[in-house]
Amino acid sequence: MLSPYVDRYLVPKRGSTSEQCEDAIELSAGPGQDRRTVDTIVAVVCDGASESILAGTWAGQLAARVVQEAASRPGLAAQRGGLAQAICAAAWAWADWSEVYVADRIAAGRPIAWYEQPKLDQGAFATVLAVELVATRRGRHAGDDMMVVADTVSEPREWSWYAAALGDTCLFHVRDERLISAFPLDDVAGFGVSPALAGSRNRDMDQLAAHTALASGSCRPGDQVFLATDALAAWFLAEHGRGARPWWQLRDFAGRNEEFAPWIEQERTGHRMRNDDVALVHIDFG
Amino acid sequence: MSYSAEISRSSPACVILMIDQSASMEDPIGGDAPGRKADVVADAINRLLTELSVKCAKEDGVRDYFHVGVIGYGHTTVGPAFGGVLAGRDLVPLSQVADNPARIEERVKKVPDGAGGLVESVVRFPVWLDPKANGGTPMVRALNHVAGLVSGWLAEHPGGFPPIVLNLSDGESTDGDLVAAAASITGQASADGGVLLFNLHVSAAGGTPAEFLSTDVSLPDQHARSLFAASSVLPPSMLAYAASQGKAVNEETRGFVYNADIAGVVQFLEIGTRATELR
Repeated sequence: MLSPYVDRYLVPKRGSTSEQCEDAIELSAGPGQDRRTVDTIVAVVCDGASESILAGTWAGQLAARVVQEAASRPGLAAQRGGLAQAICAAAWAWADWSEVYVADRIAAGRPIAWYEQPKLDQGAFATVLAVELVATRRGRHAGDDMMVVADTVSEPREWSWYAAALGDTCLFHVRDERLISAFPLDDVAGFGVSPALAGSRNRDMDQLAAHTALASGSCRPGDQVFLATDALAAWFLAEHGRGARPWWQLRDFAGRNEEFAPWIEQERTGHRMRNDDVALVHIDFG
Repeated sequence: MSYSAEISRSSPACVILMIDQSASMEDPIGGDAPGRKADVVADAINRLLTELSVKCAKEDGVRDYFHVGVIGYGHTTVGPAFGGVLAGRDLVPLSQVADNPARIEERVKKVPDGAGGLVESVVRFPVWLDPKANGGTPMVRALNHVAGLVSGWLAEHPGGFPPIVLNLSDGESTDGDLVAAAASITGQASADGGVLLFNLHVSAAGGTPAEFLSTDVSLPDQHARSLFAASSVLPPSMLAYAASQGKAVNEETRGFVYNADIAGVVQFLEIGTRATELR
């Protein structure tokens, strides 16, 4: 099986500009990368908490840091504590970044306002979903060392996914027109306004690890995996709950990315989807 | 009537704060807390506006999720009570409120020192209005004035989250039956729910401070019971939040606070994902 095709979509909430979008996506392998030779893909989706200040900036930095950490420590999403360690690394970097931010604001003649200060002291918050897709050689045996450097273009491979989640950003795995995994939430009733969040001041590795959920699965040709922030994830589960196949709509946007935002707006207008930032990663094994 | 309408810049909500500025507010508040009732309610209004501004603050400024009015009543006057450049204005977008306090004071506050203790820290405290106490209590006229503001808002925002009115008073209306007048506010509704009227009763009668009561049996006098009767039952989303904060609430719980802090009610309002640390 070849590497999957990975596509990404970001849509700000109605009333916000794209610069004000507080969802973030970071991928280790872009669409331009040679799909035949990639054997690990890391996808991270973060959803900045709207009540916090600098939520979009934190979501972006957090997603980038988790991808960076996964590159240096493969298996991050498969081990309890792996994601927590990456979040702590991002929080340490945030402390330095925020000092520079405050200094830059003063230099720009726009010092931190009285209403910003309490939130700056509190820090920024975001959910995190980290997914590692890993290729393994099919039919490999202990004595097959001579094949280790085999041609990745022609050699059959199988793909597995490992996911670590803090909060309500979700992964959906679809096979043969059936939803076979919904992680970490599988019921629309599980969404609310107080999901677990990674705070930019939280460097308590044990606490972060205790709140992190883990899951994994293996993929076959034709499988579809979707990563979505809460508004779209809740829509997905609600549609599935009433017997629909929401993946039909989501997989149709490949190659037609410009049609995604209008479709999101249509669902919002029809009150089928909450007006919130939307992030979607579509991983297509077809 | 689900109280689930989105509160956003494209669909803002309206918050009206009413402050009793009559002569009886010159009296001390009952119980162990020192100070005049007038000081307590002025402080509460300033903290409510602070909490609301901070809640809606982003790095590019305060977002206009709410339009806010402060209506004072005392002696022969009923009308806008903002000081400074906002003086005379009824409903003001929150960003303008946040950017235009009459002044910003520095106050000493005790904050956690990170090692289990407390340390004194200087914080900025914006002030939009000062204490005032004069003449009778035209609360009925004030409630009717606010009913007019609410009516105007609903005409422009018929599907939005219903207006929320917070009345801070000692309950000693001198111009009629406040419960009947309150119904002119709570009898109005948007498609999302009935208008909410919450009351903070500051009383010299003492007794135990209480927040969000379900019955009036513990209240000390008729003033308190009238304000309780005039208060709306908390809608389900607010009840759920109150319960999550450990408050003892049920389906009968009303937006009524007796000699206690009311600024926390701002946290009952949902504008998106709450920013909270893991527990």
